[in-house]
Amino acid sequence: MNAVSVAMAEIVREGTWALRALGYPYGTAERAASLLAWTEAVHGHGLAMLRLGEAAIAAGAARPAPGWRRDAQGIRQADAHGKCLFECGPPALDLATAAARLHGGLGRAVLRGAIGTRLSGALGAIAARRALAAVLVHAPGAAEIAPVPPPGWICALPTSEGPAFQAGSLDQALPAMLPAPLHVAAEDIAAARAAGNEGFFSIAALSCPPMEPPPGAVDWPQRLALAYRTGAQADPADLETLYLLEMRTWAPTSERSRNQAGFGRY
Amino acid sequence: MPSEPKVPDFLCAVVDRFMGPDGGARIAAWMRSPDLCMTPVAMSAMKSTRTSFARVLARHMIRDRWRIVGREFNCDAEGDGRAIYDISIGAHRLTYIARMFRWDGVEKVGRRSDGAYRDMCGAIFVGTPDERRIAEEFAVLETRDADTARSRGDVTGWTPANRSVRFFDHVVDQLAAGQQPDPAVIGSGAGYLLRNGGYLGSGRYGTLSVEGYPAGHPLSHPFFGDLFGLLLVRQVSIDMVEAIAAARSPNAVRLTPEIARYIGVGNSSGQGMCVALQRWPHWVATWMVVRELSLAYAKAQPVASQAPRMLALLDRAIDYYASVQVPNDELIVPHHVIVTNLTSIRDWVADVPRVGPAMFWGTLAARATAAVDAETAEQFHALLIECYPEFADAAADYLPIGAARVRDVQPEMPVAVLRRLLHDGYGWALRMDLGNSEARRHFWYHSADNGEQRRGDRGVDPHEEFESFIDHVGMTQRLAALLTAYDDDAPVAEIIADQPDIAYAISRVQYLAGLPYSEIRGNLGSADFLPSQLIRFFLACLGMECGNPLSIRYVRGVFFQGMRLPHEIAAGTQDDWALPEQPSVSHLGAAHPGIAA
Repeated sequence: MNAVSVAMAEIVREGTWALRALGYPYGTAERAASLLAWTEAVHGHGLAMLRLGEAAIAAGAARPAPGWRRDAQGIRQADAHGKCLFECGPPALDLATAAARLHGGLGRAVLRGAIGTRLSGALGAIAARRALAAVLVHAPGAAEIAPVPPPGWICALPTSEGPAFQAGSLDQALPAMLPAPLHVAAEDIAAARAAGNEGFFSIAALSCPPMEPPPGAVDWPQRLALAYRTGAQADPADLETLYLLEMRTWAPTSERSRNQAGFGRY
Repeated sequence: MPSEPKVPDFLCAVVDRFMGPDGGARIAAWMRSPDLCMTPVAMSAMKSTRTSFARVLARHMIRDRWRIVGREFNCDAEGDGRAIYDISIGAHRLTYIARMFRWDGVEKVGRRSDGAYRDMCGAIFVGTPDERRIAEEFAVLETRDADTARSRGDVTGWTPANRSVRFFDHVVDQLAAGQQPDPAVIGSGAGYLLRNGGYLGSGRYGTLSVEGYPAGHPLSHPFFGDLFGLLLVRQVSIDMVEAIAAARSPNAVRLTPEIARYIGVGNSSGQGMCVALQRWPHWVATWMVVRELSLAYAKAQPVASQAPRMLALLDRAIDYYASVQVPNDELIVPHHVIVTNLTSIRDWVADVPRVGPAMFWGTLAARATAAVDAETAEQFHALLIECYPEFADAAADYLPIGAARVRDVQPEMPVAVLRRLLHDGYGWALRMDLGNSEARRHFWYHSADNGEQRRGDRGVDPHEEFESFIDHVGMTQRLAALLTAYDDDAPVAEIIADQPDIAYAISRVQYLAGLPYSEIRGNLGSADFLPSQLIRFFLACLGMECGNPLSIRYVRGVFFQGMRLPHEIAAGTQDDWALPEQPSVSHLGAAHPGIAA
């Protein structure tokens, strides 16, 4: 494959329309497009999700929003019923953020049966920009969009230089330097291991002043900055899909339509 | 009581610096209510000012002595050729390449639906690319195929443009005959030879994203990339007419500096600009607060402080409107009316006693608003801002700061607080009746003609389900209705969990809260709304003069007419160039020195 350079702004701009084509309303699509761009820049295969997961994403978009409930520990829980994190990831983060900020403690949300776990890092970046330290645990289910990302955890941390990240597999322990309340996410790791084919995603978030960049941080911020400078390197087929999806939102032309943009008093 | 909108801290500091600690109160008395200046009709009348982006860019260029040097310009008698320019800005380097195409006899409008079918196209590189890379980009421009064309992250954008044929040919013919073109002919076409048709940058076709500029890069300022591209098209137009004339005749002459300066660059823009304004409301809020604060500062000053300067500016503006013609004055105040009314205002200024109790400019501005048409009043406002350049320039430094405002949901905000924000900032929208079918008559959509934005009729035209977002009034009313279903102390995250797409409305209300000029106070979907109103506003904020609606959905005008030439910019000449006087044929100097290395 000869990779093609795709501008971040291009992914956001065209991605909003591509996601509209898959059935998301404007308010959902414009929020999801930034997840798409971040994922393409940092992990790759973000755009591939649109190509390879088109049917699954569209089917999920047509279903009702997850019904969120609160369990005995105050954790917000929902079954995504196959919806993608493009759509139900940001609300999960919002619920965790609200809980963390309102109660000065931990906010937690768990989604089962979601696809698009590749977007977990992008959600973590939003958390860190909100001055939250967060642990996101993700384990793909049987319905996950290819190429299936491995299960694992992500620590997203606010630092004075922007978000910093650590990442590990479900077999690795969480970093010792994490703020103590976040170690409760070990419960989520255990739940993810037990989730089987269901698909698991969780957020545990804690309000946190900027930290020192942690040792062993992964290079995701550098990848993001590079993508902004030089473009993300994508499969040409994925770029083509992005534009083909966008073009589905274009209305067919006609003489009447052409007049609706041109000269004359209409 | 609604809470009072607050001028951003950066601008409060500017006011303090210029007016002292009581300045905030004095200036606030002169600031206009958004009910008066944020309606589409009011915004349509606004003119380019010193705080418009083209003027700010020009000031930066002259202050920092940008150097634009022609490395190569090859063009035959039919205009077929290519050019390369080297640009130095301190330690920064840019390279501009331009491909000019042989005239094919077709005057092109410059719509997005035209794709890459243009008379010329250029590309701005960050840095100094090698010959191989330049050849690669020229090959892309050569295709004139929007479906296959693709650039890379070392290019800030492409600058497509078309000839304004009658005026382009007049200038070439005159130069080839060894004579200068008639400035009156150039002025009769609004003062340009090439007309830009969009700037294809900021990520389009794989070009550099704005966030990708190195820190402190001179083009990282909002719209500087776009407008510098426009200025380079203007330079190409000057070099191109001279090169074609030289190719046609050994007796050809070059333009005099007076006429070269008088040539601007045209632009035509359509309805997509309305969508952009709705998508980026914090841009609008930023532009407006800078403009309105600068105007309020000027209004708070005594007339005597700048009366001679104002008289000179009025003379220049009167001459400008008298000499420049636009093709259609059906949807604007005709220039001859503006000339008459500016002349009246000139008389008022001349009659103000220079001694005795001070009269403030605000008093004269109020008289103008009451007595003359809105466009004349706004032109007078623009001149007022011009009279106090130090303040306007300091305020304009807020433009990149305001544009960097980030929108994100504040999920913990209680419903009662959001309801209060709606009440305080959106009462005008909540009171609108959208039940009337005429209130929701139109929607915006992309067409299969290269994605061009068009405006359709609901229930008649297809693809309503993929409409572009323009309906902030409907959005507001939907949000207000939703809020009634939640407890006051519930966090808004609960609403988003139930209806994820409402996050956009919530975050929009939250991030604009407290800004004094945050939303366009009109319903863009109504039958009464004219897209040309907001297109003109956007273009005036960018720095266009003579924004002229050729229809209710299409506006043409001119940028950089009167702007200094490259050798003057490199010398750091003064920047008082807007609204240029038409050169007199009998007072033309020797040819300008050109831009060869």
